[in-house]
Amino acid sequence: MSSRELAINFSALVDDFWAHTIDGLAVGSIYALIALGYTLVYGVLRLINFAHSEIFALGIYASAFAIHGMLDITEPRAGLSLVLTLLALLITSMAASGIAALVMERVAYRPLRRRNAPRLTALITAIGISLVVQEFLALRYGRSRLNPQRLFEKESLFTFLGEEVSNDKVLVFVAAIVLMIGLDQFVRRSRLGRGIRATAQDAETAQLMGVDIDRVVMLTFLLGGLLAGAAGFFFLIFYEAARFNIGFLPGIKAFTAAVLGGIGNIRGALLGGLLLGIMEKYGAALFGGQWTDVFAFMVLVLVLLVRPSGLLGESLGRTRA
Amino acid sequence: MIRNLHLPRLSIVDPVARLWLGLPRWAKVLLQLALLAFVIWYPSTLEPKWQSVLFFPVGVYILLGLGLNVVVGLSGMLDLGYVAFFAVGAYATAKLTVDGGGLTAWECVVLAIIIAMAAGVMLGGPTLRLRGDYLAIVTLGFGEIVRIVAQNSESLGQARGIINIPHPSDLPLLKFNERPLDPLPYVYLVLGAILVAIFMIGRLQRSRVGRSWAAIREDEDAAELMGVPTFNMKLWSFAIGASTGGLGGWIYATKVQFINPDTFPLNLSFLVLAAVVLGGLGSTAGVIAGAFAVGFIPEYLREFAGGDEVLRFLNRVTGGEANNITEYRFFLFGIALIIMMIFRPQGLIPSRQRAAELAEATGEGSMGAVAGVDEADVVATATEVGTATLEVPTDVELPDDFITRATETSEEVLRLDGLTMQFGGVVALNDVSMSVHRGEIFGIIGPNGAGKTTLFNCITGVFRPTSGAIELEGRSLVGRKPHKITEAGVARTFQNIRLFPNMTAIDNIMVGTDARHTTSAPGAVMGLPKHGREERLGRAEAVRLLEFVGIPHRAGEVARNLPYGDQRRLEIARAIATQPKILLLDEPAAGFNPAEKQALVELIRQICRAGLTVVLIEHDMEVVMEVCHRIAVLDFGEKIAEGLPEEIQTDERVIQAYLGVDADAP
Repeated sequence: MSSRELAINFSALVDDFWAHTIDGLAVGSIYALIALGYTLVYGVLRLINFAHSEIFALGIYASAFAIHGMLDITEPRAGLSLVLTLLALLITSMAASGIAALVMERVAYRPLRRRNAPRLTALITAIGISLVVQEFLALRYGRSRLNPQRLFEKESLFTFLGEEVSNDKVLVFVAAIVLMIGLDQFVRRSRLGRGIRATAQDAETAQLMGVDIDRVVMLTFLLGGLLAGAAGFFFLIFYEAARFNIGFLPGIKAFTAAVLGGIGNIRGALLGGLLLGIMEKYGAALFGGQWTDVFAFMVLVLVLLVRPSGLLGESLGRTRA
Repeated sequence: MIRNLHLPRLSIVDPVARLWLGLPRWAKVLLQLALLAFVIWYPSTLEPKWQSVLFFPVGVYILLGLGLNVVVGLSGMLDLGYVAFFAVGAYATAKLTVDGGGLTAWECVVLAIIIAMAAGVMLGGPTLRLRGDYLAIVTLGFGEIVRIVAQNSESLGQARGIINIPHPSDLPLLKFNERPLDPLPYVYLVLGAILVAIFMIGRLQRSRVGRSWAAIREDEDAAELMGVPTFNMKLWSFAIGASTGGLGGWIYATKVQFINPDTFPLNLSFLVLAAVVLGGLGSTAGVIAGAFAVGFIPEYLREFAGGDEVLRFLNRVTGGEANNITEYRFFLFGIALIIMMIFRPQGLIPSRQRAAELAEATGEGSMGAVAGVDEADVVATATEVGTATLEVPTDVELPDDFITRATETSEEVLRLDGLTMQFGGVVALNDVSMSVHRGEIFGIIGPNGAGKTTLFNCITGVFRPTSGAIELEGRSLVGRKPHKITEAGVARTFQNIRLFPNMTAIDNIMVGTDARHTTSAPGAVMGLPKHGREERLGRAEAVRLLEFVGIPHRAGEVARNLPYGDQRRLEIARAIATQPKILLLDEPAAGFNPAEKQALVELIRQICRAGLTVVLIEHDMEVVMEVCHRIAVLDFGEKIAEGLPEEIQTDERVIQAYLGVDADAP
């Protein structure tokens, strides 16, 4: 048996530096999409929606369900049919996660909000939601790993700095960036976005000025859910796997990303996600893939201890208690 | 942490809790003994299968729940990676006994506990500066790290785990090595561990350590300012929680003889947390009930009539294909958690504190004072008008030692020299110098935003000043931690009252007296004489102080139920309890009517007569002018005047600052 104990392997990092970077950007953009959900909800409610990872997992399962249950795809597609399929799946995932996020807010969080419950209560509720969703998926689809049908053949699209860049990574990265720019513009420019920003700064005053807080909160959860759904879809394309508890690790990493960039800060989530994705790949190259997840947690602890307000600071919300 | 205002009540549990609290002491002891006899006798009547269930999950969950309750329920820190300590205890046992270790199971009980405790300190050291949600996420990460390390370490057996962990050797009456294995001795083993844990944690709860935990849970910043060494106490909480988990790991490993990373899934942390929360955070009885519910109900349903129907129903609802109802365990407890948080966040059996609140709310007699305080001493002496007490009992003096300490050294007590505090570009305090003399009442006034509270925050160590010196009797306070400054002799109250809302009045004050005591966790657990002495002394002083501020009849009441005026008084008493050399009062008259203000003036004078030096921030000019010996005026962070009340009243600059007249205007 080869040793899996901790050892540092510099050559693995240096030899394939750009390959790791490209992988990191693809994974990181998925983290960033999920991170936005944490950031939005935190910005408005100052609540870490611990169950957000399950909203993401539901997005993955929605895609997988659509592939097999609805569209019944049995072989990779190409051309126009592929484009339409991708769009249909993206919309399915986003819708499923968006609706799930709304239901979650409505059923579990709103009663707490009404009562002005302490945050520990909300956190425990989130754990409850997590358990329910994970177990629901496990009971319905089994506890073992699922491998849905591949949608398109993964092939090299172009060469960048001597590394082949495959089409799935380009798709994931570009689509994620487009979605995030869309969100950023929405929050910055639209009327509803102004409501979100106002509530984030001072919920009470925003309410007095005629902002419907309940609607803002629902909108926030919806936006976070939609993006998490998209992230789920991209995750499925990238990893081609699903499991009942698949949301946990990407979820906590996305949270790390949000904190890294500055929780409550939309652009921070993007930066944090990409950075964490890249660091994680470098870390995996240096220390071995089995330590990847430990590495992400270490980053989280260090960021929280050294610079808890993140790289870009907390801009949507107020300062943290 | 969890406050239950106007929540629906479960009809059965609360009356029972009230009944229990109403019983005399001997009846409680008798009932407890009967209960103990029952839990020893009853398992022996069960089939081995149920004895096994009693050991695991039920017994082990109770033990883990008790440990987690110290961290989450008593200290208010959400630890989501608690299972890591269970794992550390089990792996430590395995390594020490199986390969290379060669110890017997009994020999490594203490070692397993100590190693788990060390793991707790290692995790706590760097992370306890974090709070709330952040701490939760980091502990969650730690739980995973431990599992991943076990998974990937050759020396820990990787995914294979470690086998052949020895049973404990037989004791008289307890045959741990029967073939086939008899689960009953292990039931008694875990029962013993549970009793030890309950006993030790109970002792801690009733000590300085337990009060510190409660204070941290209620308001960590205020606790630090009242002299609680918060970091230390949180570390103790973590260490004690971890050691209980480690003991659980030892017990589990020595019975089952085999562990691998899958023995310690993340969900186990959640399950134990669910048990604690369902039962009632902070309540021992609640934890036991919760662990029973979480561990026993699924096993029960699996075995008994109706279970199959429930299973079929659940399968229909979720579209699942489970053929065993225990598979629904996490699903159902997830739902239970959500519902519980909505309707009864305090849990099935709320902690005694909360049970007391319930009893109080329904008017079934006062819960009586706290143990050790004679009811007769606490007879109300003050007259009540409306909700505020007006009379100050003038015959009550502060205990002697308060005075001796206050008058022991030089004339100048507090000296500020060139104190400057900048927040980014904003200068909140600019080159402020002043000196407060022994035995005087020194007023600080100034318009809103003048920097008065910032000044207090600098003195008490909440902020570190940008530059300048702060000296108490010639010793610098700059850069010291708030609780060290309190120990050194500075105490304060807050502009917006910051009592520990769910603690009784007397416990609030005892947090203050604790600032001078040194009993730590080991002393409290062992019941050292010093601990007993400090408890008695602290309680007696707390009673005296309640009398001194005129609210002796409030001793056993929960702080947040006190009328506003009494809360202010209680806060002052809590501050005096630290035996300060100087007492900082931040707008104590805010929100008072004229009669109450007069009573307050009387109280402040009395504090001064008792020998304490007082610095008073106040907006109410009548109060300030009437009570203060000297006054300093702040405006935009600068001291613009200092002098006797009469001088201040006629000072040009002061009048300009208050009336906004431009000095340069023609």
